[in-house]
Amino acid sequence: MKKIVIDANIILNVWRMETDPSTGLRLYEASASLLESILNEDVAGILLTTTAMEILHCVRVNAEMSRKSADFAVRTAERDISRLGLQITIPDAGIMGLAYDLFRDFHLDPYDAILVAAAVSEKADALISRDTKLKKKTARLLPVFTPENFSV
Amino acid sequence: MGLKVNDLQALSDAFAPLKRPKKKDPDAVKKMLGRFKNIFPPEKSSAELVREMREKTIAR
Repeated sequence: MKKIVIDANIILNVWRMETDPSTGLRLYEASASLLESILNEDVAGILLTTTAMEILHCVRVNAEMSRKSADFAVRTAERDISRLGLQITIPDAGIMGLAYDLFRDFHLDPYDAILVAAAVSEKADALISRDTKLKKKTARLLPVFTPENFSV
Repeated sequence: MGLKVNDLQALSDAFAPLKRPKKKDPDAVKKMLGRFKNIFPPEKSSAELVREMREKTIAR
């Protein structure tokens, strides 16, 4: 079974039913399909606790800005994430050490550095993200696929 | 200094809301579709939103 690390934007695609405004591509469809594959245990999906916090932070801040209950939104988001069958992973000292190297040598921002370090340390087959900046900076380190380009 | 068993338990408790429930929900992904459609600015992609959020957090 392949092992993948999930970036924050994949889960946000589904909650937002996001489409690409320039092409009309329904981004949420492939992201949801990938999460279904994880739920059905066709692929092992890893979500870092740091990524989970980023997702929840995004939900909290945007709920506050749209005058919705931020606490309720965060609790709902946590429940959704917990049901996906993801391997929730706390970055350990080894990951943080490698992250610091990547931060320094590849000029990754701290969050990307932890994400990529975890994917490398966990010997993941791929990192799944729609972030083109991340892909450009880390192409030499590991495969980064969009959900459309990754085959389970 | 190693990690203490009690510390491990505290860590486990901290992330309890993210632990998968014992009973699997086959409709878990379907239930997520559009859940937060109205709280995010539609003109920005999720990748952009996360990156902006990071930059603001780091700049604080």
